[in-house]
Amino acid sequence: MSQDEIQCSKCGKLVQKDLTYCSQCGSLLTHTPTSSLAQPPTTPIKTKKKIPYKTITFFAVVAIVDLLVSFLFMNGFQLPVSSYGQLYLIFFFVTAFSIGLLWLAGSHASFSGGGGGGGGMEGCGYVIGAIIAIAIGAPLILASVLSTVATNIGDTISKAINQALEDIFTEMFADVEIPGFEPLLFLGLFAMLSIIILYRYHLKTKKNSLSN
Amino acid sequence: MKRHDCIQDRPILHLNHKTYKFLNHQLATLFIVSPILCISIYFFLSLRMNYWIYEFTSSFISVFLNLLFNLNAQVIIYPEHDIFPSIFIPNHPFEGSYAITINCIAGHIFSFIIGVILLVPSSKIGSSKKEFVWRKIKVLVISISGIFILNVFRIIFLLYFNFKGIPFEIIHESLFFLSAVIGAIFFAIVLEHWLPELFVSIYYLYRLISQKISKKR
Repeated sequence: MSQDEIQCSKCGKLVQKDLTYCSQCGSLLTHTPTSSLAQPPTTPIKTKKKIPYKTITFFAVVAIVDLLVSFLFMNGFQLPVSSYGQLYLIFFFVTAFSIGLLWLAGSHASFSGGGGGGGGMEGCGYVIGAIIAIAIGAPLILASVLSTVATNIGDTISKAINQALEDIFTEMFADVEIPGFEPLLFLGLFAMLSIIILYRYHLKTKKNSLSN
Repeated sequence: MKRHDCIQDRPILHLNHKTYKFLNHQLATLFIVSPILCISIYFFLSLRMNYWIYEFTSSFISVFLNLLFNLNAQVIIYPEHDIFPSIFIPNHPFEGSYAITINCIAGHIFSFIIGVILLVPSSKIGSSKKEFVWRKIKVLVISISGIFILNVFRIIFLLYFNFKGIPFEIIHESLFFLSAVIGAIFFAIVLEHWLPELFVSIYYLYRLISQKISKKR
């Protein structure tokens, strides 16, 4: 038992000394003086959640939406994916990403919407941001997985970017020399000296020199 | 919502009869941003617009070579700024032409020095911001000029001993090692004397982490 903990008289568990009520069983801790002016506890007692309902709901929604979207795509479009199972897996990430963003935006919107007009605008901003991110992110994820089309487009774009960077690089720099072991020697020596200095500090300071 | 990085809640470190207090974002900036800044400064020094640094250093070296050893050294500067300038020594037993590259001017060392000094965090108690900035400027000027002079004399002696017949690889490596040791000791002493916040902040972080680990146990 450390100096910051005491034992609860009812359940016998070790709890933080500065609490008024036991965080395990909720009973009043005996060290606190009883007074007619006793204040209610400022820190709420957290109850342990047993079933993660939100997580289960999220993945259930993702699975259902994924099923529908995969079914529609399988039957409505020509895709380079042959089996429904493969398509389901591909769309799982897209759907999870999209619904996750919307969920997050929604929870932020409901939190900030309570603050009045300004909060409502902020909430709208979150939702709009989520929609834009989905509009950009979903095609990116799809394109990276459905590789036949994405490969050709990706090759062309990357070649263009490489050429542009190379041109900028040769225009800006005369000659870039990659350093060998030289900087590592200086850095290593400096690091060694720093460790010696830090150890000197450690020997000089007392154990409780870091105080609030 | 309570800010976790509130100044009043941060623990205080008592060291060498002084008090120090650093915030999380200051420590994060030092450890995460400083390597990126050092690399950026290194590439900045490689830009063509900074060709004047190589010209200046080469001219400085050739002046002192002629002053001390009378070698008639000349600086060759290429007008297109495609290649680094060179120092040419006539009547040389070997090739006699030395290109002054970014590593010759200790560009990597300067990048590290500038990147680290600029991001040393200031303590939130114990010293005023004006005084801290003045100390930083002092350390920057002293470190850069000290390393510059050390490096110039390293190259001067390198060229002279090579001119006298010692193979370039042997003298280059040995002089480089010696100047790295002297430079590292010099930089550490300057920092410890005028800008101890660099080492104190690292020690502060160590104490914070060890305190949190001991509390969890």
